[in-house]
Amino acid sequence: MVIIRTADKEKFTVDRDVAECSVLLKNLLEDVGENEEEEIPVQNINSSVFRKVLEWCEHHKNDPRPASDDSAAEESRRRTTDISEWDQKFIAVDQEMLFEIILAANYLDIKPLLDVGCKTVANMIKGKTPEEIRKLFNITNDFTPEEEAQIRRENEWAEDR
Amino acid sequence: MPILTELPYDVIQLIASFLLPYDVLALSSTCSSLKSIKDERAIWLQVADSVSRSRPLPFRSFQALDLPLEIVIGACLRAERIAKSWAKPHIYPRRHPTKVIFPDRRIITYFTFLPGSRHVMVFDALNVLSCWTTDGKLLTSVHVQQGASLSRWKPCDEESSYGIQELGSDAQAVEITIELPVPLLPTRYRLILLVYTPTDARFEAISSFQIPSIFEPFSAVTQDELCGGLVRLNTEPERVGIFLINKNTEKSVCIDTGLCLVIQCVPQALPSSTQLVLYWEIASSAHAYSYDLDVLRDLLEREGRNREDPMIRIPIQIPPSDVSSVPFRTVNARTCCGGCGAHIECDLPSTDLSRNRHAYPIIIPKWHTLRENLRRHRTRSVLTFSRRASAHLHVQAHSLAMYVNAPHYDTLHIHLIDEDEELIQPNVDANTNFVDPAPDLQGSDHHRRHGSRSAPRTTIAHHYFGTPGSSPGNKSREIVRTVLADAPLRRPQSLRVNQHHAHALVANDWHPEMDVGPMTLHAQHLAEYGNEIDQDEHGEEDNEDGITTDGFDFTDRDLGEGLFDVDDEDEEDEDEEENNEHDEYDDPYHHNDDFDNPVELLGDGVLEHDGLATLQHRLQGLHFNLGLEEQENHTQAPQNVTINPDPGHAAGPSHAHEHVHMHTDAPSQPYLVYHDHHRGSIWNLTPHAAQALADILQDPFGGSPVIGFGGRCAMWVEEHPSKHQHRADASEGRYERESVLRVATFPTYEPLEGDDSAAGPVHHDLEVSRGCVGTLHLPDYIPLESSYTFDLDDVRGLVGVATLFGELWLVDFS
Repeated sequence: MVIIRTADKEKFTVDRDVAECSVLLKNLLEDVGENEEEEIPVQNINSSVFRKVLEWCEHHKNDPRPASDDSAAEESRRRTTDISEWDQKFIAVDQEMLFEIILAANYLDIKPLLDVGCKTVANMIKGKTPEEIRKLFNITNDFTPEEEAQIRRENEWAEDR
Repeated sequence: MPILTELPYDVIQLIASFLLPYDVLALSSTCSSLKSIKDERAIWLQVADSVSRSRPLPFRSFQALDLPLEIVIGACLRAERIAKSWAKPHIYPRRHPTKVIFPDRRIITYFTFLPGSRHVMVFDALNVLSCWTTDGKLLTSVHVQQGASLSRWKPCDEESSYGIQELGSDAQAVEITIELPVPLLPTRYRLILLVYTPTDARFEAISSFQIPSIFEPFSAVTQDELCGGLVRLNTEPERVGIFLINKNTEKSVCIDTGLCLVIQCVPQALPSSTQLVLYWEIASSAHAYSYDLDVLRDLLEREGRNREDPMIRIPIQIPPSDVSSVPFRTVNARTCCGGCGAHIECDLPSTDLSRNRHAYPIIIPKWHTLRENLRRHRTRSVLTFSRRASAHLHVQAHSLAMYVNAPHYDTLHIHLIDEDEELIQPNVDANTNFVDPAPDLQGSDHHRRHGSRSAPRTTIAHHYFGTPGSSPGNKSREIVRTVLADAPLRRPQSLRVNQHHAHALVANDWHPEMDVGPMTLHAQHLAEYGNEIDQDEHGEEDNEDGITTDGFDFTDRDLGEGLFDVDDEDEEDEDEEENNEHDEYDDPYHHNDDFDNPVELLGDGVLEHDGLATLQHRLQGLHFNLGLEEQENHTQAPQNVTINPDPGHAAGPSHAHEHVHMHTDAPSQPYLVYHDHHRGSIWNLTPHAAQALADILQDPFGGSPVIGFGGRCAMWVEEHPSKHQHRADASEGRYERESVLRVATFPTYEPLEGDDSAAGPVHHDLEVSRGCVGTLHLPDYIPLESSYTFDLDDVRGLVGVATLFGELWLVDFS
């Protein structure tokens, strides 16, 4: 077991196998050795998000973990936009939590979880117009009308290639 | 609270990489902080990679790295458009088509889109091979020998021995096999390399090879230093042989495979870098007999002999190294009901493909996508029951007959049909153009219910090996056969010539503005699009209809002069040249200063009196074989009729028929007959007239499927009763035909259970067109009824249609 302390000072006692889903934690754990009492700080993640991340890691702790240089496995993992049923339920959270999970997965270096988050965002974007995307993600349109017209022209030109 | 725009840029990139191409554009158009993702090559390479799992792209990964980003983006956007729009029952052009045309409007007898999807290779009636861009610009051309036909072409791999890669990442090449005329035995093939880049192209003569006349070749083989063909061995019963030549050592060997030859079902040669596979199909399964190429190389080294050695005529018995009979697993595609356009699950009553008389599978080369490991791809070879007609039809006497109806005194209906076809289309007779399909012909219930009459149906199926990545020894392969359609393929074309004007045609007094009849010779089209195009200084001109007519850049044309006469190592070439000294190196443009007449219309004495005109384009280089079958009137048909123009007076339409010389090795007997049912007479057509017609109707089926180079789609022409015909005509049993252009998308990429390397597609949105059959709607000014050669580029969504007016239309359906 290892102890992980989140940004809001909450401590989590986590099974080592679960923690090692994160490449970052795995490396840190290798540095501290077998000292189970040493706390591992994760400064960018608060407890509510980390709890969610741990839930994912717990469920996927037995998944085969590709070696860092296993490009084929990487390709296989990334080649589909499909998200497993469990992951779909897991990621069915509000947009704030979704982005927090993505940021946490990115920080902790949990590529499969990062993929799930990014695929979810991608699926939300698919088929939408720029205006619909702005509305969905609360993005401010900071283009001038001239810039918008220019973008439209560029996109039309790209289509005709 | 984090928002999308505040995510780290690498995370934004990752999100974008999971998007479809148009979604990337949309996301980049939302705000200035996301605008730059459109310019991220890494994103587009990943998008391209995922798109390529569902749709073919016109470049490979090593090319994509160096290509301008806008090319990559454009290809991805186009691929998405095609995937979605071709899933619809009705598909319309996206823009005005491009017209490829020679100034003399010569007939284009064959054309094909080339790998890379930016070029078209054209073989025309003057035996000129040319390479055009899909924008309609002629890049280069070369005159090949009179009577030669285009036998086969295949793309050159990047690892090929021709050193294509040294020419730059944007250079591609195809190897073309030309078969020389039959009388010039021993049968000889020439290999030509076409190298092309976006802005340039050139033909290069590579080599030639010959097969001893004792063997009759039927499927050419070229692979690396090996060439040759599958041949018929004069054994009892006849067996399949492989005649192989090492181009480097010039040693030859003939292999007796021990396989009995079934005439109606001859194998095709599928050479690859490791194996030579002999493939053919029967109703229940596909047969593949493979030889290891290294074994064949060793054999050539040990047993090969020089071509003068008579021992090369003695086949060596070598059994195949791998024999397999691969069962079919049949999948029915979703098909569209022809009339209503709605998708229906078509439960075909039979998947027995033995009804297909023309079981010549087309071999689609590699699917050039971003995937490097093609073994992981499910599409190892794509086969379909269809064919590409050779450039010049070699008409066999027993397989061609012509029937002419004269239901109206002033109109003659001419149909060329294959007698073989008639045997299995028993209800097609000489008296009626269209009759009900035979009751036992499958799939006609729907049309019968709708009170229409349709042509006999042909089952169109697509095949692919079902286990990619399997080891060669894996016997668990299967061939997935997708029945795409049970379609009434367009039957032989009909030529109708108004009798009044026929006299004018014969008298060479025909003018484009004359109304010569309801079909085929659409004078109004000739007038409308004209053949005298005023070029601006850039060689481009749009006509009044806004149709692109650029492509008249003949100033830098390379006619490939001397391409073949440099081959001084072959004495027979000299003989050949003597035989054909008049026309072999003719500059096709040289004698044809008068381009005013788009096609030559010529009749002979018999036709003049009968008032039947023949559409005769330029006669140069025509050759056909009428066989030696006994005719009903006990005359013997001429064999090997060659029509040569007098070299001194070859071109001018106004003098053409005065200087045509017909050389036959049999008396110039009338061969084809037509029946005038009104007058009860039987009139004779000379071989001359028959040639004219046969050459026009090089594909007597007119609607046979063609398959896209990307290996994802096939296109064919169906024939349906016209909705606009007169009721009186229908009551008399005559039916107007209406051609319908159909396209089907194959399900070539399916997840295989337990095979991680063949996981499912990335984007389901790009798979919606799998198995769909839709209708392509050409613009009204492209006369589908007058078209006879088609090709499909499913990479860019282009459809090519060659018409009897010497036009090649390239229509963008993306």
